[in-house]
Formats: sequence, C-alpha cells, structure tokens
Amino acid sequence: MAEEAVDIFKEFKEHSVAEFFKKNRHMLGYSGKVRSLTTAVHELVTNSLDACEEAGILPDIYVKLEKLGDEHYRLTVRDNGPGIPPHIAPKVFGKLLAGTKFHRMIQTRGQQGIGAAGVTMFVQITTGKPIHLKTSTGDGTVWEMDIMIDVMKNEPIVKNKTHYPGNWRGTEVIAEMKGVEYNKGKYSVYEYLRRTAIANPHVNIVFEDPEGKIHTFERSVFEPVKIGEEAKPHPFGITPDDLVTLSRMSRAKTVGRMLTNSLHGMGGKAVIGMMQVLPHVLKKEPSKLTWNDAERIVATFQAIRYLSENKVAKKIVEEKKEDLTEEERLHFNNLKKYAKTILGEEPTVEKVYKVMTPLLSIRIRGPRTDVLVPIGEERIRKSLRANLQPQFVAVVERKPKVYSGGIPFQVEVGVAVGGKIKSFELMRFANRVPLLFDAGGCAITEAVRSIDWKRYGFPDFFSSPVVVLINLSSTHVPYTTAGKQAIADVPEVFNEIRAALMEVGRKLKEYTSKVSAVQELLQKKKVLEHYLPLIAKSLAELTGEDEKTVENLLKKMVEERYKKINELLAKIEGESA
Amino acid sequence: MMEDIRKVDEQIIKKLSEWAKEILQKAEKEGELYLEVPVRSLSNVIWDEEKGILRMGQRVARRSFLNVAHAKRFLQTIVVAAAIKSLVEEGVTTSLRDVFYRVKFTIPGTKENVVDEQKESDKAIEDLETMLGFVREEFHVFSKGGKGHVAGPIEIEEHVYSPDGKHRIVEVDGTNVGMGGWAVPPIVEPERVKIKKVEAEFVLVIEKSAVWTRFHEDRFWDDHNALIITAEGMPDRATRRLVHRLHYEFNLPVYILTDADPWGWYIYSVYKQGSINLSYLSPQLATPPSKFLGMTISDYFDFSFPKTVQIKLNEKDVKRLRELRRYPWFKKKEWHQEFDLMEKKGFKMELEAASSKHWRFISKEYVPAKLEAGKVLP
Repeated sequence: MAEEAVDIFKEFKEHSVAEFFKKNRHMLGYSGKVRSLTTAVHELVTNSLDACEEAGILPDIYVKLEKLGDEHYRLTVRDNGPGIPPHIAPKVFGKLLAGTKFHRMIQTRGQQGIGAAGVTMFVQITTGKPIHLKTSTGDGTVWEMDIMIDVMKNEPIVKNKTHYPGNWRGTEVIAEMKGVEYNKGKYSVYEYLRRTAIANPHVNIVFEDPEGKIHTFERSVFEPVKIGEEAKPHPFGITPDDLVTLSRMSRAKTVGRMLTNSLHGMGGKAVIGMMQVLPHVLKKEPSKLTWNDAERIVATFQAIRYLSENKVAKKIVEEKKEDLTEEERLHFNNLKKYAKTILGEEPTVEKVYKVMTPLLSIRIRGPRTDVLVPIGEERIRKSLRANLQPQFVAVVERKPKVYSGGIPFQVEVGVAVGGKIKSFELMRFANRVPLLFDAGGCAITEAVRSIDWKRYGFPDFFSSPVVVLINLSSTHVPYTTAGKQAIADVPEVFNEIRAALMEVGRKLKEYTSKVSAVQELLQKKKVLEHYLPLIAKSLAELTGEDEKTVENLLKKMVEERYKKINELLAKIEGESA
Repeated sequence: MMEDIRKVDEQIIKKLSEWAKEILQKAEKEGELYLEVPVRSLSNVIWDEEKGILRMGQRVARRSFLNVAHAKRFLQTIVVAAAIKSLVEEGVTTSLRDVFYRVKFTIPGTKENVVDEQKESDKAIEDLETMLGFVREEFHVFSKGGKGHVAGPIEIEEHVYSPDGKHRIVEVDGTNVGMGGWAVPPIVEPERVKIKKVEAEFVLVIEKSAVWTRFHEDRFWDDHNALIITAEGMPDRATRRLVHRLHYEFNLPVYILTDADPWGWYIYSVYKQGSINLSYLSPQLATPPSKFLGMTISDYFDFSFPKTVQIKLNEKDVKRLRELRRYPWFKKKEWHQEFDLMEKKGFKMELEAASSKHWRFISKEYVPAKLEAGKVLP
C-alpha cells in the first residue's frame, strides 16, 4: 500500500493532498459510511498499540463515539502510551505519508492505511474542522493543540496550542466526522475493537458506543508484546522499486556496496560474483541507479535463486548443454528470460550460458525469520478462552516460512468450539490487525473453504458453533491490490494456511470424536430414561410392587451404567483447559 | 367347565407375576435388567427325527434393558405382558390385532410409540409364550377368526365365555351341519372345546376349502366314516391343534390331501412336523404320524390324467422344490422319488385337476382308490 501511495502521491504533487485524498479515499479505507468510521478508529488505535509496544507498555485503550447529528459523530481515542513529543505531534497528525515504514522491514501493524494524518484529512474534508490532540510523555507537562493539514503544502497547521502541568501520560485524539454511520454489524467499530482485543490479549479496551453503552474487552495476558526486530530486505524478495528507493537513501559509494550494506544475506563474495555479470551497474553511484539497472539486478537475483533451487537448470549450465530434453528446454527458456533482462537484448544460447555460469557459485543466505512477531500459541489459547468462553480450543503456530523467495511470514490458527459460541465466525488478521472487509476475495477465506472439514468431525462446519482465528504475520503482508483487507493468493502463503488448518483439524478431530462419543452415550441414556417410567409402571402392575420403588431401582442402574459419560466430559474439559 | 378356564387363568396370572418378580430380583442382585428369551430363528430350530417334529433348540438370548439395541424390545415385552395380565384378569378373549392397538400408545414424555407395527406386539407375545411355557391361546389371544371347517361324525361341546361371567355351552353335531360345516373357533384348548364323542375312523385334511366342499356335498364323511377338515391353505394354529388333539386323544389316523406342488407339500409337512416359525409350539401343534394321501406326480400317471391338467413349473416352484429337497424331514426315499419325478417332468397339478375326468372323480374315485390301495407317502 505504502509504495503505491507514494507513487500515486508523486503524480498528484502539483495538486493538493486534499485532491489526492479524495481521489483515492476508497483505497485508503475511507469508503462507505460504516467503513470510514472503522478505518478512522483503526488508524488511531493502531498508532496507540504500536507506540505502546515500542515503549513496552501494556496498552489501555479508551474509545468513545458520540452521535452529534445525522451521519455526524465525534470520536475520541485515548491511550496510556508513551505520548508524543509536542514538536513531533504536528507531523504525525498533519502530514500525509510523513513516515512510511516501508523501507524498514519491520513488522508492525502500520503499513495498513495512510496513518493518523489520514484521519485529520478525513475530518477536515467532511467537517472543515481540525482534530484535537492532547498528549504527554509523562514529564509533568500536558500539551493540547488543534491540528489541520495545509492541503497545498501537505504541512501541518497547528492552532490553540497550550500546555499545562499535569501528571498524566498518553495520547488522546478527538475527531469529528460527517458522512459516517455507526452500527453494531460485522464491519463496525465494535467488531473491529472486539477482534483487536482477541488478537491482542495484552490490550485492555473500553468502548463507549453512541448510546452510552460501555463495552469492556479485558486483557487476558499481562505481559507486553516484544517489538519485532528490524530486518534488512532479502535479495530474493526485493523489487526494482525497492532498489531505486534504497539507492536514493543510501550513503554507500557504489551500488555493489549498497547491496551488501542494505540487503540481508549478501556477502562481498556474492557481489564479486555478480560483478562478472553486471560490472557497470554495480560500480555506479547509488544515486545514479536507473529503473532499468534495478530491473537487471532483480533479474540477476532471481536467476541465482532459480539455479540454486533447480538441479536440472544447474546441470545444463554446468555442462553448457545444447541438445536439450523437453524438461531441460523448459528450464533453459526460463534462464533465457532472466538473461534477456540482465543483458538488455535477446541472448544467444552461448550468451545465456555465459551469463549464468558465474551465478552458479553465488551463495546468498536464507532470509531471517526471527523478526516476526506472532501472537503466540499460549496467548491465542488464553485469549480465545477469555473472550469467547468456548468448550474447546485448539491452536497451531506454524514455523516461519518464506514466500517469493525472501519475505518471511508465519501463520497461526486458533479454533474455538462450543460453550458460549453460538455460530460460525472466521476472524482474519494480518499482523494482529483485524481484516473485516473483502472476506470473499481473501486467501485466508479461500483456504478455510478449501478444507474438507467433514474429515475432522464437522459435517456442517460453516453452520457449527466455531470461531476460527487466523493471523498472518509478515514483514510484508501480501495484500490484494485494492484494499488492505484481503490477503492475495500467493501459493506459498495459501498452502501454509491450509497446512495450519489441517494441523488444527487433526486436533479438532480428537475433540470431535470424544464429543460424539459423549453425545452418543447421552443419546443412549436418554432413550433408556424415556422407557424407564413405563417399564417401571408395567413391572409394578405385574408384580404388585410399588411403582416408585421399582422406578428408583431402574434409575440407579441406568446412572451406574452411564457414569463414564461424566468421566469423558471431565476429560474433554481437562484437555482444552 | 367354568372352573377349568379359571384354573388356567389363575396359573397364568401367578406365572406372570413370578416371572416379573424374578426379573426385579435379578436386577437388584446383578445390576442388570434382562430377559432370557429362547431363540426362535432358524438357527435354533432342530429337526427331532426321533419324535418326528421340528422343535426349538436350547439357545437362549439375553435381552437387556441397559443395552440400547435391546431396550425397545424389552419395553415392548414387559408392556405386552402387563396387557395380557389385564386381559386374563378381565376374562376377555381377543385377537393379536386388538392387543396391537392396546399397546400402540405413545410412551409418556416422548414422541415414540410402544409399537408401530403389529409384528412387534406379535413378537412380544411369542417371547412370552416361549419364556412362560404357555400358548397364547391360554393368554386369551388368537390370531384370526376360525379358518378351519369340520364335518363328520363328531360331537363337541363348545364353551363360549364372556367377560360378564355369563357363558354358554353350544352343542355341535358334526353330521348335522350346513354347507360351511362346523367353524373351528380360534381357540380349541380343552377348557373351551370339549370333544364328547368321535365315531369317525380317520381324519382327512384337505388343503383347499373349495375341494373340501366337494367332499362335504358328496357326504364323504358318511360313506367312509371320516372327519373332513380344511384350513384354507396354510393352516392356522387352531386347526393344527385340533388335528393334533383328534390324533392324540382319539387315536385317529390323519391323511392329508394337497395340490401336487411344492407349496402344497410343505403344508403337509406343517401339519405333520410343525413349522419353522412356530417350532416352539410343535409339541402342541404337530401330528407326526400324519400320512400324505395325494396328490403326487405319480398319480398323474397312475390315474391317466389328460395332459391338459399339467401346469408348467415356474422358477419359484423349482426353487421351492429344491428347498424341500434339503429339509431333513423330507429326506425320505419316497419323497425324493416324487421330487425327482416332478423336476424331470417339469409340471405341477392342482386338486381340481381331478374334475377333468368327471365332477365327483376326486371324492368318489381318486381318494377312495388311494385309501384302498394304501398308496400314501410318509
């Protein structure tokens, strides 16, 4: 998203940011009355959570919505975070795209929308009013100010800035919006906060809705989340655009040096190897790197990856084979495509081998996966228990994997069944942020649908009392292009989600088998209990004995026979506790 | 006479009560509520060659209330037992169908009926017969109104009871009956059907009632001093019981006349050895010394019947014939010769085929000739 926003933003530079915002509001999450409100809450809450995490604080978030008129609301979001220094605050809230995080391969909730300044922009274009900010870093001084955006310069305008002594730490934003609507449906602020609380069990959220009703989502985990480490981008996952941007910020003397400095897993040896293929490009000053150069570097990386992953491709290059089998021809053609980009011309067979041979010996270390911040198996378990009060919970946390050759990602799945859960619900998350919209076009939804749940004891899974939580963690979440609400169909990611679901399915199967065993026993017991009074009555008639005495005798026998039901039930409870 | 039936009734009520008490005692001691029901399937039917009857084996199945697969049948048996107790106590005689409706009620607190089909209550009654050692006629339960008809030199006192305590004695003279003969009542136990005097020298059982009418009109019973009996095909229990009583109480030889086909021959074996379904009742119902008078395929040749009386065997006939071959009670040389002949010639023949000769051929010539020559099958 951020990359696209930058591109789009460049185009609109000569126009106002307001125009930019209006033209792209659907991509920024401000489309629809309900969704716009949810997006505004999302931006502010996300900022609060990221700030708390960076400061190691257990977040307390307070959200209040007041209805001021028809489609006219006032939103208050308050946190107990580290506060924002008064000189930085105007940039955070008054400058669009001020600090995109894209160049840092750090996994935060951000990257999702356009940030807190987007809220200011939305407020401004719907009401003409500023947002009101109150913040303190806990140094004894509280700052308050009104912030707007100068739409021509994309710079903050600060008004009514005051400060006063106060023993408080945190940030509070008050934003008045029009053209928005609150409801309690599946796209609502309520649902957004509920799911945020589920994926972030260390957070305490209090929400006061427009009717004055207070909803509390209490924290169930009392340890703050550790912030993800920053990771350099991996060569196999990098795009030409990334390289161009890197080159503009790099202080390295040559592009070659820039690559070893800024990319993960690139040693000097690797650059020397690439020098034989792209000598001119790598010797350039980074600031002179062209888009075409960047494309050639990326093609080289892809060729290195291809040769390291395909034994057949490696063999034909080693042997410089000319008489090719059908399979070998396929690999050769792929290599030829890379060679064409690298050389900038249609290559001969000889040239393909000439380009590829030096790449054979280049080794690039695999990407780091320890930079990801999953929710954590235990946290998911606790959270699902506390928030949903189900009968059974199964959680699977998969090992980190890599997609597109270099982008680490990790899948977690939690399934809660029965208890107070009454209907089916799929909760999608990316980096612990709820994805409420575009469920239909999401790889997560697709993956859940693709599983044969009958095999795991659910003949009618999507009508069962089940909540499925899926969180995809990544330094670069592969969203579908349109919104930030659906995961793209990347094969590695899709297959990994499926694998996670099948693993959790096997755990569910153990549970469902026990449940159906209990149900069967209960069913049997019920049958006997239904027959019992009539049998007692008939036996009493036949023998002349007292009917109640006979009935009690029979009841005792049935209880004795089915006491194992209670044992089984205790076992199910015990395992999921 | 009234005392006879009261005595049986009291025995039944006492037995039912003891039986139920035993179930409860075992439940208390063993923690299991169960019945032990003799197995009535073919696997537990034994061909008793010595006595010449099919009888029930020793195998007993345990039907436990705590086993859900058995619970419903357990319930049905107990409920039917209670219904029978009230039936006997009230002195009412009724049909299996009535018992079915009596116990076809919804189990309180459920949407389920005690029984849905008559065969369920019928089975419960059969269970009780085998467990308690009474026949259901003694429980005052019969199947259908009389299927059987009798004519000939016999004097009977039929005791007709009423729940109101009023009962009638009906005198029957078998030689002074209408076209229908004396209708065999559904229950022919001695407390209800008292056979006072029998002058007949043998019993002729005729499979088909229409053919029986021929013999009756022709006063066969007078000419031959015989009792003629029919039960319209597969005999009911009462008719079989009556034939049994006539043989064992009055020493009358029994001859049986059926169509010359596997179905008629099986009917013969039912009179003689008992049936698979009611093997537990064979000692009361079967008459092993019965003899088969006809018809046979040999008769076709012996009496030179015209070819037109032949009916070609169909697939079902052939299949049934092969089943008969395998029954141990048909493992007799004479019978297997007949089976071979039928299969070889490939036809069967009805009793009415005799009329191809002349109207009264069967009663006036065929049967007398067979009796005279003693041409019977064992």
